[in-house]
Amino acid sequence: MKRKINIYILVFLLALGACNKALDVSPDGRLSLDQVFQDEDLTKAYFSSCFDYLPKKSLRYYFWTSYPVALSDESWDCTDGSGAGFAHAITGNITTTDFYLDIRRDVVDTYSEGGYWQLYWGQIRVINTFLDRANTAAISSETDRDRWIAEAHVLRAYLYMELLKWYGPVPIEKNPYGLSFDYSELIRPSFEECARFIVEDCETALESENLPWRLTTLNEKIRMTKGIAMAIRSEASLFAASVYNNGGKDLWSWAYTINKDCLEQLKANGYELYTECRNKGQYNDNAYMEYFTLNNYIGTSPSDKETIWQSTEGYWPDPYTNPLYDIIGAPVLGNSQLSIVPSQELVDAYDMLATGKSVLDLANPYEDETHLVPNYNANSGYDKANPYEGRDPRLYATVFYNGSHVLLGTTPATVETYVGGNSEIRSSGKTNTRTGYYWRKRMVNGNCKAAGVAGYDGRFRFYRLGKIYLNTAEAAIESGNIDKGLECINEIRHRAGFSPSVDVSASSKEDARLLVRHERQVEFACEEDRYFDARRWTSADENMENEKFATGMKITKNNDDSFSYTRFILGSDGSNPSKMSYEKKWHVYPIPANEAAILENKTGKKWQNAGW
Amino acid sequence: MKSSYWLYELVYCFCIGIIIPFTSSAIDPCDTSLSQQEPKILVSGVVVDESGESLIGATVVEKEVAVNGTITDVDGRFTLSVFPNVTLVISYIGYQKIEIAARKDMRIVMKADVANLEEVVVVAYGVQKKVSVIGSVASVNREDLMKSSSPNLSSALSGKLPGLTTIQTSGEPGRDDVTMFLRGAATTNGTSPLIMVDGVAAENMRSIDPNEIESVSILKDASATAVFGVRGANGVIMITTRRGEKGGSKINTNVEFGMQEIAFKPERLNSWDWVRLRNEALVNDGNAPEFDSEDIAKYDSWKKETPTDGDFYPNNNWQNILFRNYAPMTRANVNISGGSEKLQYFISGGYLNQGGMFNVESKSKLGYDAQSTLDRYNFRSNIDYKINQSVKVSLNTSSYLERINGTTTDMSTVFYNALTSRPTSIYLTPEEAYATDAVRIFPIASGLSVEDPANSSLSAFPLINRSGYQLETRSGINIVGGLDIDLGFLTKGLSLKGQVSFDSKGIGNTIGSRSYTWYTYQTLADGSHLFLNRSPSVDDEDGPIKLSKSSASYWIVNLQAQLNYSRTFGEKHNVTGMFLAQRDIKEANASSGDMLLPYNVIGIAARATYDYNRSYFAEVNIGYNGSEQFSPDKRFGFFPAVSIGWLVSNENFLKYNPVFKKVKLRTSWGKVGNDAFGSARFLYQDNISQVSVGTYSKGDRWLSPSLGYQSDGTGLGWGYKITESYIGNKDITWETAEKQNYGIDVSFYDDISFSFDYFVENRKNILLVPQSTPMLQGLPSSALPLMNKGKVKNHGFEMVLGYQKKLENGLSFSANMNFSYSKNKVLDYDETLLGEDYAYRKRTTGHSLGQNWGYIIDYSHDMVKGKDGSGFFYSDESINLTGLTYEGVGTPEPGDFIYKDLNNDNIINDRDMAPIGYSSLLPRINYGISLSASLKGFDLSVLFQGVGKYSKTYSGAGIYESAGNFYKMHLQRWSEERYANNEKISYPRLSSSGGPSLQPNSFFIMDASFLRLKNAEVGYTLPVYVSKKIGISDVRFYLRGNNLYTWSHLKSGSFDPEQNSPTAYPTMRNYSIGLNITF
Repeated sequence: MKRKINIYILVFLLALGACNKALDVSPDGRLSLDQVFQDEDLTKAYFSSCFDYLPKKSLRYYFWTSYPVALSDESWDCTDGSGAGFAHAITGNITTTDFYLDIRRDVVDTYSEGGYWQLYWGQIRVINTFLDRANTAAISSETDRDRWIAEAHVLRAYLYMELLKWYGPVPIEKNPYGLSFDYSELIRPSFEECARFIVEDCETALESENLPWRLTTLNEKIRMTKGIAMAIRSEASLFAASVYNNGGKDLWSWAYTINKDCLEQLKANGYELYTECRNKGQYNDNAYMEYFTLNNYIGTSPSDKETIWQSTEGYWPDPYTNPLYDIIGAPVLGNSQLSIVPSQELVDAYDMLATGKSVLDLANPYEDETHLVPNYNANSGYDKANPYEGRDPRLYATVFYNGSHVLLGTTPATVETYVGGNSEIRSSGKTNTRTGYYWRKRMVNGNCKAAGVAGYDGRFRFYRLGKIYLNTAEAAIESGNIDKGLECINEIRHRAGFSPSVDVSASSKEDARLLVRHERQVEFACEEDRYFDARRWTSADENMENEKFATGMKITKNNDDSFSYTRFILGSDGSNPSKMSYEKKWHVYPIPANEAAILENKTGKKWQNAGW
Repeated sequence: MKSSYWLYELVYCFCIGIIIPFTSSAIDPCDTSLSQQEPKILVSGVVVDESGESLIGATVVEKEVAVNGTITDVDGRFTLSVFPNVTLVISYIGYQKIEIAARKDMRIVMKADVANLEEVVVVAYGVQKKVSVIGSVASVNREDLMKSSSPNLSSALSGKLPGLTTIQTSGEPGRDDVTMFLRGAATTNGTSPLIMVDGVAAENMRSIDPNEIESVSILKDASATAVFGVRGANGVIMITTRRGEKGGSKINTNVEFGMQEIAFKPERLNSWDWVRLRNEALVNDGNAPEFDSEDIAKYDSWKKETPTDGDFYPNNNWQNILFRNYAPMTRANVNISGGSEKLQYFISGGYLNQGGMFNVESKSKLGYDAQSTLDRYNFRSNIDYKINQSVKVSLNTSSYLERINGTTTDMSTVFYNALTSRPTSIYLTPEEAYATDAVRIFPIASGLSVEDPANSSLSAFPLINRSGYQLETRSGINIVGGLDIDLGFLTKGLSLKGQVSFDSKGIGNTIGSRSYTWYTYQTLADGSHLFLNRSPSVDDEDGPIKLSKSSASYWIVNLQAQLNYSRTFGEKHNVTGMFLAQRDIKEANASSGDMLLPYNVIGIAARATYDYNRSYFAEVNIGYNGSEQFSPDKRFGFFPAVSIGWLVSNENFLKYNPVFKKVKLRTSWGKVGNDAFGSARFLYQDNISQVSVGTYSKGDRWLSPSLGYQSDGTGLGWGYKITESYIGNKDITWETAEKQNYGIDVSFYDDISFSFDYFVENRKNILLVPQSTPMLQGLPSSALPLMNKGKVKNHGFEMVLGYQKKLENGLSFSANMNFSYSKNKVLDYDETLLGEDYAYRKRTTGHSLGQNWGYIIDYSHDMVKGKDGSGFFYSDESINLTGLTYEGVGTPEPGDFIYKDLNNDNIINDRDMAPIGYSSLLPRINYGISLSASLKGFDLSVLFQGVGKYSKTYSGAGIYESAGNFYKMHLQRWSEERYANNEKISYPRLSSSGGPSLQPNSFFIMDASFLRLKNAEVGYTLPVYVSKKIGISDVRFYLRGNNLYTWSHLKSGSFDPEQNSPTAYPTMRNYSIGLNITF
């Protein structure tokens, strides 16, 4: 007995002696940064992380809506409460502490857009860390090292450009701050300084002999190219010279020099406009329409040589679950919901094909503030009783209107947006249009639930050569090179289907400016450019008046099968603006309130954007 | 101010209480006028215990003249001069009081008062005699717990323990989690108390059958919890299970049947009222009305009960469509206990069935059952076996199996949809319905799900009925083997205890998901309707059940060795000691990341108590344990607590006092730790890892960029990327709670008891995410190294007042009231000052945890400023007169709230937000009142439970009309017409899309305090002579109601103030009938 007890005591003492080691549960797989850069595979993996967060844009802002498209004057959003960002922005129901458009609902949610401040700075930190270590990191091939460094510069330039577009100038950070950084001296530089930093990053990358102009294998699909560097460079200089950003300086000749160079070099290195429609039956010989449905810009000789960089949006969970018809299509295609729809303002902007003339007066398109009384351009050939006939073919490629022809699988059908039609206009709900129109751009003609045909639609283009054309056109006109500007515009119009006989011309810089702005509105519809264009063209002390009222077209079918057309205001009875986001503070998003407070406490300077 | 005055009074009374007997006993009894009739005689005697040992210090007093008394000497002897024929009262702590006629040479044998002396209280790693407990401990026994029909043990504790807050946020069978706080909250990290079952830490107490429980104790102050070290700062709940007792075997059976109903139902509107409100809301926002006069006429036709086109213009009552009126509940338990000298046993088996409230379609129609139900089977066997005089072994085996059935859709979606479904929405295709696919028109079946095209969301009907089912099975087996060895042969009073506990748990989830067909419809110009298929399926049939199953299992091992010492020296010096070493190894229920690694806790604990003559008490508790959360240098923490107590009533000056039977003062000071930081682990280490990137199998060669490169070997990253998910801080450590406790226990006469505890807790080193690091450095806040920077102060008090009386006629009555108050304040939070134009520049520091923030409604009356005192703008002019601009909340219209412009900039925006009401985290005040009475076999008991100083911000579905539905609360809205007619207005103008009024403000931040008739029970026990005849020793029937009535200050009667939001599964009201038989 006693011996037994002694054993128990021994066990007890052993239990007491159980040491610290019991608590040393070292989690597997944890590394230090030094280890990462001493190992070739891990260095590769770290370089992969530089691409970790790239935006998807398009319909991924919140579920399936696009805020910049919805808030600009080209569109309306039908999701109401569920797209709370839009709903709050149009009612002015937004605060800096709870800025709906810019809040990631969930940290792990990488599927919806927003929270750029946090995400882009995070990505810039990773890129800076990589650049900081790349020269000494374990990369055996010097060719790889050179190319990777060039790509990191392009990526950093892109992310800075995005920060500038959304928030205005931000501190230039070339090295990671680290945890003990003293923020008290941090400043917001001018937009120009930021833009020059971006251009410099792009030019550093362009100097690399190992950075390709175009990706040639799908294995590299989201890698950076010289084409992308050119596009960012073009955009950065254009934005910097614009009235909202230029700080009173005339930077247009700098912008023109850069843009002209970008356009020439891109053209010299295999980029060209998509001018030839291949499936003429399916796309009615409309090259512009077909172009956006393509997903083939990578390769040694791809059919799409216009696209410079395209989003991967649309691949998750898979195209059979959320093809475009399902999320923004007309009910006749069998949609399951609807978010953005085109506005009457956009539809009004398409010119008459035969005359090349605009439907409305470019300088003063509406006689009243609420856009209900159009100021028609004389002799354009526009027929108010048949408003969609004889228009710019880009209208047919971009918008479903009442009477649009569409294929359901292979069966021809018509989109009816009139009251009682198969895709009728409704004042509530999120399946039917509020404006009388649906977006069509990027949709493959024939994909449709009713016919059981699903498939990939075209992906969202971040950059395409057409954009560089009109960037160059704008910089040319603003810098006084009007002829060069008009040449670019007309080249774009030829691809759209306009005959050279109706080329646009201008006698003054002001006229030419109206033309290039008009062309950008039409050519880039639903590509998120309009929102930023309207903002950079508006000086800081002015509102974006073009967005104040949005209108739609209510169509009723008469007994004789003809239609009556009534313009109406969206989201307002005319006493309040349709979109409160037309106010001048909406030039840029607010910096997240808490971030602004922290920086203001640290630096003693004001950081928040004006008006927020 | 008020409370301090109250305290002052208490202290004052207490002093008077001490002084009066003290001064009066100083007066010579011979001088009193009472002593004039007869000469006194001298009585004497000896006081001994049952074994004949003399009792030193026993009190001998003359009855009625308590001031005349003495104490026995070292030989147990006394002499006292009294008048003839008086009665003496002899008392001694731990012995039953004796009254005896005074005479000479008495020999008085005192019997030990088992109830008093042996009454023990469960404390950390052991039990203590109640008389010697000087920590702050409260407990409740099984009988009280059994008065609740709640299937969840933690909600059965509600209102019964001073200092314990329970908040039941859901009533869903099997998922009715209860949040618990002990003495409030004092940290931004984990606030849950540690739960121990028979000395082993447990994850929760939800699945324990109350029939298995002997008692539940809560340990509140540092003295009681220091031994738990880094896990004890939030207090400890100790559950002790029943064990067998010597004596014949007893079989006890308990069967209970009940009906549950939803305690609060939304107060719905009829469709004809509904459409008018909807139109009003739309028009108020400048939109076109949704329903024209023709539509409205169709809804109005329901009033005459001859609806025109009732299929498409219905008046649906969603509460009736979706929910049943009653659901059954059954509980049964059989347990056997008993034992001999050598072997004691307690064996229990229990069953519980809780039905759900959904109005599901029949199983014959669906082929499966999607009703929310809980079935639980509990089994326990606790066995003690004495091998010989000094060695005892014990084996506890317990297991449970829970099966929780329900629909596949999560409850918040179901209830959200239930609350936003309109009475005007149709939900099933009617007979003779036609559909179109843009090419043709064809008939479709009836009874298919329909989405209201105007509402754009499915009703909850198909979510409950057509989306399949989910069956979750949770099981657990717990085995605890213990060994007790009396080491008296080494030194008297020493014993050793060892214990091994093994807990194995499993969770299985079978999901039978199913796609279902649903349609929307369009109304044609001629008024007919065509359906449009929105979710395709073959032949319009709801899809087949697709089965999938997931399961997880995990385990917990606890090893303990404990040395105990208990001995009395020199009759009066009582010493105990406890030394314990223990280790926990736990595999958590996790599927990924660091959670997969087992958890380890290692530590030792010690306690030493000393008392002198059961009058002066001192106790030291020490916890020394290590947490793997911290770096090796910071790993082990030392947590001491000291406490002292004084049983004042044992002193001479109180002994003869007729009023105070017991007065005990106690105080403690100590430090306890908290290492519960949510799910994060190893925060001292960097967390940089290589992460593999998913591949797609859809045939698409494109990847989402956030996922890096493709992983088929051809991409650059070879399918990997590096994530820096956290940067470690080697210096982090546990948070420390420094706690003080001051308590007093008083018994007045024989039937009133009172105790009061005041506590102060300073929690510091609270681990925080740095708040003042800007985001532009690039690391998300989740990756920033945490730091021990937070400070919270928490203080409050608890009071318990008890009264019990047994009358001559057999009526016995008792009343118990407990009241607790705790208030916390954040002292440091590394918070960044908001801009100078903010009315409140700090939103956390200086406020209570969970403080509600919102806009203050301006009820002032100043017609010049456009304010009529109602709090609403009464016209456009009124808006102009106020001179206020609203920013960020929408543009105000007449009928919107006027907010106070706190920063005086004439702009109402988030800079004008102010703290409103109290915290939404937990109530400051908790109280319970229980009353019980019994007479001749009948017994009656009621429990009221309440909370006070508690606020919640309500919003969204069920509250805001903009969420899509209208309820009774919205009828009292502001409208021009109602305003002009001077009607009662309590709600702002209606809005279809939100707006300035639908914000957190002093209207929607509501007082969530409530008082609830929690339980009421009537029982009848058959007289013994009747039950004996049928061979049963005890038979009792009872009727019981739970959650019977609630008084609250909410502005809507549609939901329970205890729920977090109206979209939670509602809490239940129960009525049950039960039978309890003991053989």
